[in-house]
Amino acid sequence: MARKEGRGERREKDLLTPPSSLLTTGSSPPLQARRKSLGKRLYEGRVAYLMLAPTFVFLLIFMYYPALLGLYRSAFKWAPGLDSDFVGLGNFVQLFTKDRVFLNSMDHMLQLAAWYVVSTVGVSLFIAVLIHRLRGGRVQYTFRLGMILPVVIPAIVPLMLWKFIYDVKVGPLNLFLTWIGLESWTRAWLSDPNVALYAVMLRNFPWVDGVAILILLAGLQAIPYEIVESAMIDGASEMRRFWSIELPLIAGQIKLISVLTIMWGVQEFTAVFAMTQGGPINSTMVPGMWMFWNAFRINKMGYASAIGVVLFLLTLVLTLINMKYITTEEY
Amino acid sequence: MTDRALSRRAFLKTAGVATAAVGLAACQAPMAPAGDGDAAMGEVKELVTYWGSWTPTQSMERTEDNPLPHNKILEVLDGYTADHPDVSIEWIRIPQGISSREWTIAQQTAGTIPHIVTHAHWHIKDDLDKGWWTELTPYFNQPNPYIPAGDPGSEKWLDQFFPIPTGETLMRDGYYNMVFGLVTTFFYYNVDWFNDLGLESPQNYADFLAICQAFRDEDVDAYGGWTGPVSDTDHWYRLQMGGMLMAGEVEPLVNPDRGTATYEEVACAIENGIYHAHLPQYREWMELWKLNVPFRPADWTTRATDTHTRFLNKVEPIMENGTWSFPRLLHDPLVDFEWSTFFAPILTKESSDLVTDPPTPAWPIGGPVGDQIAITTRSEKDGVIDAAVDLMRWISMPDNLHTIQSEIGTLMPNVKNVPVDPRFEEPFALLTEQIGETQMFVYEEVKLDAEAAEPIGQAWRSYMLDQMDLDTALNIIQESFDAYADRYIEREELTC
Repeated sequence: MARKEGRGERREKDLLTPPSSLLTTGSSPPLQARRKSLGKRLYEGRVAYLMLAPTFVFLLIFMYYPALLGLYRSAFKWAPGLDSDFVGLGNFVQLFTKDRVFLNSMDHMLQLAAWYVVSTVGVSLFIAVLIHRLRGGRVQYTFRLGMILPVVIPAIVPLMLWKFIYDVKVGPLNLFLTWIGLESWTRAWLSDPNVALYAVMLRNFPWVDGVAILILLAGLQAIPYEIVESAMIDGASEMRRFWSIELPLIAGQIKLISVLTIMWGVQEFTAVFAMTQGGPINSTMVPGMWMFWNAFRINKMGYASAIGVVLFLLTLVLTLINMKYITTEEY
Repeated sequence: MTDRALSRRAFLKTAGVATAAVGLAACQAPMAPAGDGDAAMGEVKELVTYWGSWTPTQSMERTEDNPLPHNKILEVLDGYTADHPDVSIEWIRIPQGISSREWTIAQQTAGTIPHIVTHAHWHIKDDLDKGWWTELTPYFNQPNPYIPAGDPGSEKWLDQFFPIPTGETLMRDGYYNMVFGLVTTFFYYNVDWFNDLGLESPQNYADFLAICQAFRDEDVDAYGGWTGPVSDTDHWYRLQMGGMLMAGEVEPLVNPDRGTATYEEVACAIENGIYHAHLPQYREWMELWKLNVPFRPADWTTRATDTHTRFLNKVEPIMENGTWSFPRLLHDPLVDFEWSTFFAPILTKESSDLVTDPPTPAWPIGGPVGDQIAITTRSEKDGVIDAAVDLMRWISMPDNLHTIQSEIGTLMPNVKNVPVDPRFEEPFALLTEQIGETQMFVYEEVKLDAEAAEPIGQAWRSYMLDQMDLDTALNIIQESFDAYADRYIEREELTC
């Protein structure tokens, strides 16, 4: 039966046809002969380099320099305005042997990061698949738009909104629980050390992440339709199609989202700062907040830098583990 | 070649001209050069200032969000510049929501701090080795030229300030800021609501708990109040209670003259094992304080609960708050009930065997806390120190200070001959004629430092929230005490 050319097919066709500029001809000169000197190449690309230079300069000044300075400072006991004392690995030793708040904050951070990965990847994947299954471009477009629109809202707004939702007196959550007869379940959600971390964790219900959905959807749409079609001809069910074909083929996107979410979770600061400031009694303290507290409340800049270095290393290790153990299947 | 809207040559030419223009503009000094540490003779001295709560409000319309509009500082500054055409004064706002301390550290580190800023003496204490703040003692010892002969201040500027609260700001035998405002705290209560339940204001802590229980029986959270950062306190009454418990046996050892409890005295008392967390008084303090936790709103652990709104909306019948609440209660249209105040209920033998007999009244909280202004060493580098000091002397004139403070109405003056609002007369007498918070060695954030006060506060709250047993909490508190004493004694090279 004749079938209209699918979107995936069109995209694949485009991808399979390289631009003519990249095609080589049989009369190409040897590689050695084609290579130009560095100076000549720089001169030829001078406009591009000139345009890129400000970006790199600002990157060096505002990103790399502070990061390297932080690495350097982590080996010192230093407060602004005072001389610094070299302590070697002393700050790190104290972090991991004496600082109970930091060790607890690592635990909180891991819980948050794990939940963020599960909720972001799980919910986004579920919604992306649902949208992908919709028939009709207009409907798909409408849902896609609906998912991405909340991204334009400044991050602080939902945090303030959820702070209000959790309010013990006038918060809709407690009012709702009372209304449905579950008054005994009402809590001071952000003020009770037994539940505050979970309240921070479960904010933003239903955990829709517009950007993640778009990335996953793009991955799903890029799967050549022939692969899906042959599976269906072979009698694969919808679930089988998802588990055996689509999921492996969008592992790259899942890996990307996982890495970004892990980094986001490890560096968590904004939500905790806005909602609880790490309290009550440090029950929502995360390393980012503890770093801030040490740096700006008691001026232990060297110690705070050491926390920053630990966070950097942790992010690096988790990302490497992710890259190593989540394999991507190419088609 | 394809057509281009902007050729590469044209782009580079334009970019070159723009870069040159920016470079030339950057070479132009933004203001008249101040010279190498000295403003040149005859040039206008430009003072940059940040006035904290005196800063004019963005609107002069009284609204719910702007309950105390004010701008009288401008009148006083204009008066000064009219008399001193060689001085110009720029005043700035700082972004809302940012911690004043963090902002100050950032500006000091960057060298962009204004010449005159508000800053608390307990923070300045931690900065003494940084060279950030001008020592004012030599200036304090000179006459204030704006004071008529014979009046306090005409011989020594320092004489204008009340000695007892000002004494608290002394560090390393020097003064580093000027404190213009005094505050204290009360328990505000809804008289109508008390009457409905047949209650009267409490005479002691046992009464206070009984009143709270009466409200609890009505399913009302009675004890509302200010919840500060963990390193500060959860309610000021906690510190007053600690003072009452320590007054009998411990205070005479820590602070024998019963004057200002100096940092040295407190650190040495800890070092010598006179004041520690394993004292029976300390244990009793924590146990007694925990008794009022069930009567607080469930979110008391969260900083900055809006206790004002709850009191005004008749959600909570008692609000522990400061003198600064008076103007709002006087002006707010929500106040359609009778309210009054009571002072910190005393601890009697009914509550503890460790209190004195007769009971010692609570120390008045507060004191030299409001309108604390310091001059930064940047003013010396910029050669405007004399102008900065002179401006502060001008502001110290009773008429000028009254003009500024009376418009806002939240503080009592710490300067002699400034009229005092009649409703503040009693606390004003307490704060200026007897020792108060200044002798409160139990006030962790004021008498220790934030690094010690934070874990101590966390231990207190953990115990109060049943997340930690009392002995563990006391051990953590003692660790923090010891660490602080070691830090302070080493830094100040003390011999205890």
